Amino acid sequence: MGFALHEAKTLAEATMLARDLGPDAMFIAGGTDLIIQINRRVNTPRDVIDLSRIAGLSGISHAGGVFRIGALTKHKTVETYPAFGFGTPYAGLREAARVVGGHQIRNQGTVGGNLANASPAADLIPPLLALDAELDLVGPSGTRTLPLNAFFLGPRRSVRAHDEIITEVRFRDLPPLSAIAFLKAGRRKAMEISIISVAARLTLEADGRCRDARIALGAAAPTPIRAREAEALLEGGVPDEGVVAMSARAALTSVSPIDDVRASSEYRRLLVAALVPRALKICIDRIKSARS
Amino acid sequence: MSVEAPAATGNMGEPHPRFDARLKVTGGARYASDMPVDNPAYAYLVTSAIARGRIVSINLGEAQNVPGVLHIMTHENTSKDVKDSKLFSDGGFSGTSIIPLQSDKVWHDGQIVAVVVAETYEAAREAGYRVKIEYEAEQPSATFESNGVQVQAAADVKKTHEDPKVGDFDGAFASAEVKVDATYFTPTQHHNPIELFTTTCAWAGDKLTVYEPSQTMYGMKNGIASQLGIEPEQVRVVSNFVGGAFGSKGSLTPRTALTAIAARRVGRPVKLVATRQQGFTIATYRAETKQRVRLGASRDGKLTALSHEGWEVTSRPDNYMVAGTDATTRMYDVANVQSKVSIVHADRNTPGFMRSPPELPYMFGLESAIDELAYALDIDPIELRRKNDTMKEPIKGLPYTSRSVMQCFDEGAKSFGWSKREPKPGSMRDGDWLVGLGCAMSCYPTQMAPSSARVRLSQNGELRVETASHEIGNGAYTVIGQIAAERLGVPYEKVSVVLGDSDYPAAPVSGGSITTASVCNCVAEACDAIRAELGINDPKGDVLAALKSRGRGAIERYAEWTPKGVPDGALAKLYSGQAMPTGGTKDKERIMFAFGAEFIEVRVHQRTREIRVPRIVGAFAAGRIVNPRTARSQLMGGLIWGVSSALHEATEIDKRAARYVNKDLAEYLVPVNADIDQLEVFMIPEEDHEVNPLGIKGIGELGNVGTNAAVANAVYHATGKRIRDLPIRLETLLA
Repeated sequence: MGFALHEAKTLAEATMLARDLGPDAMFIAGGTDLIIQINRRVNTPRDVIDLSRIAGLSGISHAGGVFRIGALTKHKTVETYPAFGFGTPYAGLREAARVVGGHQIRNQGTVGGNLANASPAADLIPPLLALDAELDLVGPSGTRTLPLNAFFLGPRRSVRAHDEIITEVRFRDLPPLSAIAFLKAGRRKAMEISIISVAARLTLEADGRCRDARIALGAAAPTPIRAREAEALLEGGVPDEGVVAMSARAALTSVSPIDDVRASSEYRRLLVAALVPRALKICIDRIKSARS
Repeated sequence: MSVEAPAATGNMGEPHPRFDARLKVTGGARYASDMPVDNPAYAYLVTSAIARGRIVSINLGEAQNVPGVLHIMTHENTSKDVKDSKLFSDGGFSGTSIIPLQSDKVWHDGQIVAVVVAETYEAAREAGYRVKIEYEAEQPSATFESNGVQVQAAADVKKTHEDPKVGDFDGAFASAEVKVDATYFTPTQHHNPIELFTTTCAWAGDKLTVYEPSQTMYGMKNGIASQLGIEPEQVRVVSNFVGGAFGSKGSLTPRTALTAIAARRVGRPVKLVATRQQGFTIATYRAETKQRVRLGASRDGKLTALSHEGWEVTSRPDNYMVAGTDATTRMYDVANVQSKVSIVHADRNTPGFMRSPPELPYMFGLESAIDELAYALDIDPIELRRKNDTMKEPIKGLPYTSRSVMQCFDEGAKSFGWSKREPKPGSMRDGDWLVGLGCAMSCYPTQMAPSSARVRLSQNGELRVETASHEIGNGAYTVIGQIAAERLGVPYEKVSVVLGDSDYPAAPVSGGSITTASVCNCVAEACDAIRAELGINDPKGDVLAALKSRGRGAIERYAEWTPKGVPDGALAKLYSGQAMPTGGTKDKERIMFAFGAEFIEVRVHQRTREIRVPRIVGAFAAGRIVNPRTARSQLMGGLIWGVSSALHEATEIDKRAARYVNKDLAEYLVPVNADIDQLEVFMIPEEDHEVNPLGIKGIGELGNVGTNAAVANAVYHATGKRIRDLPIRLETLLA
């Protein structure tokens, strides 16, 4: 009855086990998603391989201009990591991490799991996309690195093979005059799956022109996406109200939201139009206040 | 929101912290399923996959092969074990007359169709998944407007039901200068107490102990005895703490008898913890209502005609109804009134009591319509209520024992800043946000039931109170202890109160906001008997010194208390677990209600129509407040639930399958902390010794009545859009 639980001590052991056990085997880390799926019989794995005892996959480090977040890092760790705090350019990461479920879920669920699930509504993904993050996948035949935006294929589908494990997600330091913001809309203010989430990141020149813009959207398409046309409109000019509004309209060309029990496609589009300018404005305000 | 304890003003008692606060936050409070039993087996419920039809076959082969399975109950081996039980609201004990496993018939989706008992919970659940059932399904009727529902007038099915009526409504409405005629809807809602529905049964010979969270110790004891065909004396029920009930644990559910039978069959204790999803169909809920309200008034705002018609969904076999017209026809001074309640039988589980059962849905209709009338008349909504305020109810002309509703409106309005409200809808803005201010009246009948208690004063100064009442979050331990301490002049710290055990003196069901009034008046009588015995009649006299001077170790008194105006035989019904609340509109000489005024500020985003509630103010007058701290907490909880009931909560029904679809706390929305901002509660001192000697009215249900209307009225004020169908969601405002 149920499934066989395998406790892997090393990455190599875990990937080999997965390869040998075949596609009916699944990895488990925090289990905040998989256990629910098993209880509901959405997933009925024959074997479950526990990754939580593998050393070296947990924690956040910063060296050589790169932030590295180990795959087993809990959401709570991201939420409370000082370098991502309010007043830092990375505050958007904290804003996303702190709305993942409730406290218990954030103490249990992992960053790697959030990515591996490949939910279009996953909270952490938009800010990581806005930071141009990349991730490492380790499988029985070696390691590969890919940009996060090349990872997702569709709702709950990614390029990860069943015997591959995400080990780390990382991103480079932001240049000066940068900020990232995250906004999420749901029917209530916490413990909620996003109807739409938006992460925006701006890097400005000293003269106020926009050097770099990233707009990433969750729950707006089959995967988390970047609104590239909107980004392009912002880059090179001064992001005043008119440009921001134009960029929000452009963001709508990138989205293809679904109708579901939480919201209609039409309402999701309206939220994109309302939240993109709001997020951009927060970025601008943050850069200004850091400067003064 | 202030976290300081509110000061005791007027006749209020001391704001002692909750006796059980520390126990609860440290895990020291033991809930029913925490109670240790020797070598328990675990039960798992299998529930029906169809809403109407019959079971053709059950294949247990695979399930029985799961290691650890001890026994599986189905209708094939259990049909004769549970005796029929009458509905609680008809003088019985049960929340439903449907007895699962009695036959192959399926009455509703999620009905219990098998019970698996195993060595572990996991094995029981696994086997439960492997029970293979074949059904012959019929097309079910889900709700209003579904094919096949059966509509009956309440007066035709329940002989005690009255549709309040006075004067000539039709004539008065036809000739009214200003009219409102509107239809309102309130949704299906489930209690969703955080503590799940659990039952643990342990037999010792022919004696059964049941650990189950319950609002009715004596109801359960007698009810389970009658279902199992044993004597009440053979049953003990224990429930020291209840992790939320809100009515859902006030009547017997079918799971209890099944767990007791399972325990007898496997010869060891059996523990059942039903899942959150199962909780939606194995217990009761608040049924959806449809209401038509018609109001007629003269140009100057005097009400001349009121009609309130209600339709409520219920199950096929049961005539459960809440019939809130009993209250709504009596709130205003109006000479011509008519009302009618109908029930709509559908293929659903039987609904039941849920916090403010009649008033929550029906006051939404009335208080929305009053607001609509205020706009039609161009009169301030508070002034319209003042114009039609009354000290006697219009149906029989009975006087209110006290009614401080306008004081509540005035105090609340002052604090809320009502005078800054621009009357025109859509006229107040703050940037991108439309601002709306709304208000509504809250009311709840003052009810009581007979009660008994034992009080013992010991020479070391300790005072012990025993009664089989219930701590359901109402602060019962605390307020009962306070009354005893006060009555005998003993420090509160020296009092111990024990509740939640049917071996203690009988107390009535903790429902209808009756506990504080019923039990405290009884405890006061027992205390008075101790005083009398010691010859200390001066309230300031030292009873402890008297006890010592007589050389006695302890003195104990048992009291029975009966409220004024209860029918004959009420005391016997207390002991048989059938004591029903009286008072409210049931008294022949007077009418008793607690009142409040609730104020809501909403902000609606002009583009996305996101709805926020930045401010809530409630002012309440409910007779003597025994403990302003626990009272405020109750009222706050009520207001928050009221907002929830207006904006968040609804059980969604798949109309094709007559099945609830959002059966968990992720999809059944209740507000989180971040959804509630400023919240202020005022308690207006009120003295009313006609209701009962201590002048206590009860507040458990008052707080969440009217809030839904206040929110809807505020949304109208913000947007100019009248929403008559709850919950109000942004898509309704966008449409």
